[in-house]
Amino acid sequence: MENKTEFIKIQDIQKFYPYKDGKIFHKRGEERKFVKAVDGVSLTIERGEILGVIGESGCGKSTLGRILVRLEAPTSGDVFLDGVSTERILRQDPKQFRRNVQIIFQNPFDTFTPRDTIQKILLRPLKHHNIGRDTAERVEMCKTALEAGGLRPAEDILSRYPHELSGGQLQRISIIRSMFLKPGFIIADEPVSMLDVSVRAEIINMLIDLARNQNAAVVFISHDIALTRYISDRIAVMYLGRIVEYGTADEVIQNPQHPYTRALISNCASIDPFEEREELSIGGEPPTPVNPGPGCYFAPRCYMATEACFKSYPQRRDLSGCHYAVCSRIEK
Amino acid sequence: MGAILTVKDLNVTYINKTRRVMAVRRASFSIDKGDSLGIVGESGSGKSTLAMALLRLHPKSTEITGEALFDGKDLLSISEAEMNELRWMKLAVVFQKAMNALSPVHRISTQIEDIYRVHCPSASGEEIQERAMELLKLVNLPPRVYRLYPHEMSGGMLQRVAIAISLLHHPQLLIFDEATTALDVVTQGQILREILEMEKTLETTRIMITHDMSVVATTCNKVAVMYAGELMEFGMVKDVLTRPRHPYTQGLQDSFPSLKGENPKLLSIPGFLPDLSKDIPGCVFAPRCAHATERCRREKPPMTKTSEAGQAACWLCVGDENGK
Repeated sequence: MENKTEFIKIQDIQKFYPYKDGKIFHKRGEERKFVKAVDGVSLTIERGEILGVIGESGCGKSTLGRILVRLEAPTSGDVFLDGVSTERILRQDPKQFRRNVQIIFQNPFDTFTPRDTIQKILLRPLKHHNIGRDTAERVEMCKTALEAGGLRPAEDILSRYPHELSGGQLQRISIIRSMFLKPGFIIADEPVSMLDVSVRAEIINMLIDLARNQNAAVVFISHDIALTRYISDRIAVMYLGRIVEYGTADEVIQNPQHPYTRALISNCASIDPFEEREELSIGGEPPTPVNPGPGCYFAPRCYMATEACFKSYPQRRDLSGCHYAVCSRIEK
Repeated sequence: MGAILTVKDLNVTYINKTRRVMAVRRASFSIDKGDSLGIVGESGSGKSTLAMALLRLHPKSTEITGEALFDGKDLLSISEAEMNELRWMKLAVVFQKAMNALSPVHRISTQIEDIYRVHCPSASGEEIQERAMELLKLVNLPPRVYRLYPHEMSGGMLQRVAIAISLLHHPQLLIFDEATTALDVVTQGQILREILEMEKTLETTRIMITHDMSVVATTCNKVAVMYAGELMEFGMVKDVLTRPRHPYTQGLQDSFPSLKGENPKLLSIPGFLPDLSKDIPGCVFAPRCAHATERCRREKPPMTKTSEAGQAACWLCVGDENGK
């Protein structure tokens, strides 16, 4: 059962938020409703692997990211780092956990204290984790890192305040800041969706280098399918808190099996004006995940749904390799 | 078919106490009836400013020179009253954030009635409702939406309402300013498809302002690439995207990964937008361009014909009309 390369193991993570129905008191025995933001996600990630998580807004992909860095505690389930429960690491050595697991947020303008210079911002984690002997050495480290990240002249950047830099520069600093600690596990939650197209590539390539050179596991959360395919080794497609399809990036995009994945891809605008596209449309918008089920969560919007789909949640079907989809309409 | 909109030498300059920012410079292009033009570029490249200038929605201190002939009238020189006649009736715009375009304290019905009555003061409630129902159906919304408040709807629904409102008076020219950018992939895909579907029945011309090349690739037939307020390249989408002549267009294209095809390493364009408050003698893109020569930094390249309908402002295309 124990797999050597298995670095991160996400086991049956659930996150339920109580549904605010406007009542203060509830009758005894009355069933409480929950918003099931993440509903039983299990995944494994190897070292040096980039896992892309795609889905519509509200599908729980960001909540999953926040649970992975423990900004939120899951309702049930656990994440294992190198076979050790993160809950245990957090209890015994929270500093070590924070050092090892880092997150990059979507909006670089919100991630930095507006009152501090970049130097102060970058020095803080170094001091906290006792990296470098003294301030002079730490400043030197900052300079080298900034220059390696293409931010020149580094001295000038260090003396600036966040509002004096562009979004692309800030996002790069945000990645540099998390790289300082040599984390083993990085969660990037829509890191480029706020950035201009011409600078997106730099950030993406920086993340790829990070995974390859530092042998870190990266979870890349995005709604941009083309971009996720470019950066990821594997892709997980989420719908209403559950994974509906998982596999290598090329397999999921080129040979999607789940009707949701197929619809998602067919709705994605492509840069190639001649590309043939499957015309699939799914009606409406994802419903709020308040006690969904009992059938397949996607069934109400699915163009392939049969009566059986509404009765019970489908079983996972293993396809070739690691590719699987959770749909009862898939043959074999 | 004749040109519906001809823009000649359009300059838009934002003026404040300390500086003059030339947000759009020497933009010239024309679009025919039934065309769909995509204007792409990074943020700050002047694409929204261009659209705002056409609708005369810019702040008072803005200086605009040039000519924009729409339906025989120069949009930039007619009186405010005449312009008001054209707005909604002939020209309509859909903004990025429909949530902010609609009033949160009025029902959709009230807002539609307001807009309808600006141009037809005597219209009865039933008449308006009938037209509204027609349009709501066109954008795939249930009739009950008419009685809802904006906060009761999702972003995608609101965006559809905004599109429906823009169509109230059968405009000839529709401008979508990043109208689908804030939406989800699936919703965006649906709305884009609905827009295309809609155009089969309505005879409208569309300008689509976006930073997303893939949106242009799927929904437009012509494309204008803007950078730092200047038009870099103009032409048919299929032509420009398969064989970009201008290094900036090439750069933009290289920073988009393909969905299904081959994926070479993504490239970004190094450097930043130039300071638009200063006069730039040469090509505006030269400081970031890999092919820049001494001449590029000194002289401004003229718009040169590159193909039947295509033009590009680059010295590489001058004297080598057949392409590289």
